[in-house]
Parts: sequence; C-alpha cells; structure tokens
Amino acid sequence: MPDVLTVDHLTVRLGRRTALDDVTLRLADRGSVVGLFGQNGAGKSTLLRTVAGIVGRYGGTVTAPPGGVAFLPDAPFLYPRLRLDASVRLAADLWDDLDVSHAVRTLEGLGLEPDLLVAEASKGMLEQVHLALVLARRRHLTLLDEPLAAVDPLFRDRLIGLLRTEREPGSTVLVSTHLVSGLEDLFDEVVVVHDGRLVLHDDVRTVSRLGGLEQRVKEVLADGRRVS
Amino acid sequence: MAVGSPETTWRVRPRRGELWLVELRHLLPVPLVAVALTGAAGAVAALAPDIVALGVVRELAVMLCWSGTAIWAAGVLVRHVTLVDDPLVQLGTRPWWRVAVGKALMIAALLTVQHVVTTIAELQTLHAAFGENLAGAVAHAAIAKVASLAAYLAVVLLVATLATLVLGRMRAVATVAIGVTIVVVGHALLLWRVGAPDTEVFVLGVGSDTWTVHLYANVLPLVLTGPSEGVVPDVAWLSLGLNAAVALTASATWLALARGRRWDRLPR
Repeated sequence: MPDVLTVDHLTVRLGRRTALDDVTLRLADRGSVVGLFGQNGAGKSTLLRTVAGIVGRYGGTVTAPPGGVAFLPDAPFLYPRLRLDASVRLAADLWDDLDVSHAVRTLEGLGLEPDLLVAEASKGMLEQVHLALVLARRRHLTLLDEPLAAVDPLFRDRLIGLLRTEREPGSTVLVSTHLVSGLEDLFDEVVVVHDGRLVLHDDVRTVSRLGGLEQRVKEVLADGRRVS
Repeated sequence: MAVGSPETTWRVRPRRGELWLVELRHLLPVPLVAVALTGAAGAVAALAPDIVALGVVRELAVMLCWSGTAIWAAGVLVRHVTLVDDPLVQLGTRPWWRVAVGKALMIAALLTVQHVVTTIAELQTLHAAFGENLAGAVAHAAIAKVASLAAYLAVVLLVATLATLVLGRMRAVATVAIGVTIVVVGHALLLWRVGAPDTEVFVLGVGSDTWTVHLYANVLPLVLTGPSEGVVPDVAWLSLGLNAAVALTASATWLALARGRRWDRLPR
C-alpha cells in the first residue's frame, strides 16, 4: 500500500531550540484518522506546519500528496468583520480546491446563518466553521492542529461528528491533540511525539490491547523513549 | 450560487478578485484620510494665497500625511511578509510572494492617488521650475513620485523578507525599520554628493517657493532651491534614474529570493 505521507529524518530548528529531531513517519494511504499526541511543546504543531509547507527551513525530506494538503491551524483564521457567506467567498478565492457547495451544505447543516459576523460567533461555532471549510477542500491528506482544544464537551462531540461525516471518503486525517481520554473511537492510528522525537506509531487496536489508548500514551510520554 | 431560503441565502458565488476587494476595503481608510487632509489643506491655502500661515499648514499637512502613509505602507507589507499575521492568506493555494506583490501594487495605486491630490496644489511651483513646459512638469511630478514609490516598496519587501530570518517579533520589526532607513539615507547621501555637491539648499521635505525642484531619494522627498527658472537640473533626472535602478534591482533580487528558496511562514 503506498504512503500518503512520508517524513524522513525530519529535523526542524526554531532559533536555538530543536523543535523536531530526526523524525521519520510513514502514513499508509488507507483512509485513517490518525491521532497525533504529545504534551505542549512536544513538536506536534511544528510537524503539522512542516508538512503543510508553513515551516520551510528544515533538514530531511517531507513527501505529501501532489497538490498539497488541507491544514487547520490552531488559531482563528477568518476575518472578524466578515459575514459567514463573505468568508466562504473569500476562502473560495484563496483556495482553488474549496468545494463551495460542500462547505455551504455543511454550514447549513450546522444551523449557521450566512449573515452571522465572524466576530459574533462563539468559539465553538467558529471551530465548526473552520473545520467545515478545511474539510470542504476535500484533500487526500488533511492536517488538523488541536481542533478539539478549548471547546466544551458539546462542541467537541459536534466537531468529532463533523470530522466523521464530512471528510473526503478515503482521505487520511492527521489530528493533533493533547487530549486523550474518550477519543479511542475516533482514531485508527496513534502517533506520539515527545521532546521533538517520535516515540510511538501504532494501530489503535494494538495500543488498546496493551492497556488502552490513554494508559499507553501516558506510559510512552513518561518513558520518553522510542518504543515502536 | 445562492443556497437556502430567501431570508437565509448564502451568497457564495465565487468571484475572481474577492481577496483584493476585501483587501481594498481594509487598506482604503488610511490613504483616504491622508487624501482628505492634504486636499483640504491645499484647498484652504489656495483660497487665501496671501496668508503665509495657511501655506505653512498645508506643507505640514503634506509632510505629516506622507510620513504617515509611508510608515503605514511599510507596516502593511511587514505584517504580511515578516510577521505573517494573516493565516487565511497563508493557508491559501497562492504563493505568499504573489499576495505580497498584489498588496504592494494596491498600496502603490492608493499612494499615487494621494500624490495626485498633493500635486494639484503644487502645479504652480512645478510650472515655475519647468518654465513653459507644463507637460514636462506634470510628467516629472508623476514619474518621479511613481519611481520613488516603486523603489520604496521594493526595498521594504526585500528587507522585510530578509527580516524573517531574525528571531522575535520586535527584533524583526526593528531590523526592517533600521534596514530601510539605512537604504533611504544612503540613497539621499549618494544623490546629494553625486548630483548636487555644490548645492547648499538641498533640504528634506516639501517646499512651495518658486524655483524649487522636488526630488525623491527613495521615498524621502527633497527640495532643491537655486536652479534658474525653467531649467531642469541634471540632479532631477539623476534622482529619477536612481529610483528606477533601485526599484528594478530590489524587486528583481526580492523575487529571486522569495521564489528561489524555502521560507518559514510562521506567525510571530
């Protein structure tokens, strides 16, 4: 099975800090949802940003699908003074690959009004809009940086539902999060980074057999050595 | 494309240039205020040409507005190029440098409008400097300023891009400020020492006396007083040529750098 993402000996230095240290990761093209775990500052965001092409200076090689990936950053990216429909228009102008009909159907399904100002949307609503737009790019590889952080459990469930129903069929989604509990059902694979190094990449079923996802991630982070 | 009930229609038909419409709405207020202030000060001074104080107020308004818009223009480009503060644009499928070119062109167009408003009040001065050749005066006024804007924006883009290699938000901004200042001051000194070494009245700013010629060292306005009426001094053409050379060199170097290597586009 070919790989949808190949990262070979990736090293990224941000100033004097080594954010990623000789990371090698291969994701097979089997339409998985991959959880990327690690503590704050472990290198999760740097890994996603490098694959997305935002970090340009690095050692090693990164091979992503032709045409690029869809990336959801960990910060709001819509203009506060635009309405939602104007935001979709702007995104369509900036992203050649945006499926506008798909985006509108999803936003309507979420009960969002086109004349809602971005500045007036709640954090949870905004996360839904961000995710809906990024998924509507329908890329073969989608990277989501902490989409579940700082939203209440209700919105977290909605975001997970959105991810399950609206992602491109057969596409791979790499989701970074520092939350572990209650997410076993979402992921097919688990990747753990610690201090800029990749310390675990395994199938969730295998990890679950070894004591459960949460327990295993905690063990690996406590150990800090590469175990798989 | 319109989806939904009439009350909740999603007006999302993709339009080419949506980014630039949004960008224009975002950029317009600052030059608009500068144009209004410059125009009002010029109109009042023209209505009462005998009141010297009004002429001084007009010159102050022009100086402050141009200083303000020059710094604002650099700020817009630095925010996009160095500080990377617009994730939506950064996530787009367009290269960052192409968006930077678009922003620079839009700023240049807005500042040219500001220049036209400023120049209307200076036609009398230009006429005196260029004798009966009013067309030449207008051409000089237009081309000299456009070349100076091109030189300035190209230098800002180049220095702002190099400043992305500097760690820290404040350090990067300071690098741009110092770098651009060094280029502009060096440019002015070169123009002065080569083009008008024996001229004592070669000052910064704007002037409305007769027999003055407006020059630009990069974006910096200079006034040369002293050439005979109707004589276009060689330094005027040197100023124009230097700005054109700086604009071409800086923009070519910047484009080669921006396209030729990978840059970190991390928000600061």
